[in-house]
Amino acid sequence: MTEAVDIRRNPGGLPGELIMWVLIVSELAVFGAALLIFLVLRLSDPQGFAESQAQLHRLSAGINTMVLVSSGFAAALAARAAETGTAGARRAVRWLLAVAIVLGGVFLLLKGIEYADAARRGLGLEAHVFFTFYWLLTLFHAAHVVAGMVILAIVSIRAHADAVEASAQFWHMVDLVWVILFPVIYLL
Amino acid sequence: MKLSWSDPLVRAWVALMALSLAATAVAILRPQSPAWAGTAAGAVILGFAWLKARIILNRYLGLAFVPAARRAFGAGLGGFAVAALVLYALGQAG
Repeated sequence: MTEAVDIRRNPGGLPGELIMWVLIVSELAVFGAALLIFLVLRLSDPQGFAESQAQLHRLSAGINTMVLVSSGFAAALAARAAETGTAGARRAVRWLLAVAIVLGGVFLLLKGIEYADAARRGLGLEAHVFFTFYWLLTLFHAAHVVAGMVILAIVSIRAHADAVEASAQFWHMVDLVWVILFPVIYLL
Repeated sequence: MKLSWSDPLVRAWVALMALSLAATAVAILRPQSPAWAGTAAGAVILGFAWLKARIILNRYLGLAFVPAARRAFGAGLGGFAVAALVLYALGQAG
């Protein structure tokens, strides 16, 4: 049984880069606080929030969740392969990072279709406070996806183990934020 | 690179796929009334989200081998899920 774990460097034995853990906690705190504010605002108009949410494509967002966790799976496999450090492993790392990037692109494509549909129906930032949060939070998350894809692409050039691990950590953070954002915005 | 069911990363990915599908299905199929049914569905959806977050932290990010950090993140995310559920339930009741 092989594990993608590195407990060499950080206080408390945290795997990977410590600064990435600081970033993960910060991002979870920011998105978590915003989502709780969203739910507090929902108390003043539950009907309006429910009707607004019904305009979204839940199934498409569910598929996108599966796309993103699959991309995270590829990144986790890449980080594990990078630890072996062999020439063959480096080729595998590049392929796996390419798969992660392509799946990130699929996620953005589906989001783009969703955004275009919402815009066509006039569901902009000011349509309802639900959509103000919807656009701000999902666009902010999408910006992280774009940043993650760029980082994965840069790291794949040399495929150095530490860099691959740090980039995979960033990508998993993007996953993590989405799995708490998705149910609150799309499903509840 | 061979993948097998005994690989924790493979099991984590399968669990994440299944939980994502299940949460979406619960949201689409849940009854609109009575209010408690909506709250129960919300609890299931948030419970699945908590599980998915734990899987990503434990397996993708490697916290499975760092018990103190694993517990801290689990508690923090659990607190978020409970707070979200309480706010959602209050909205349902109102």
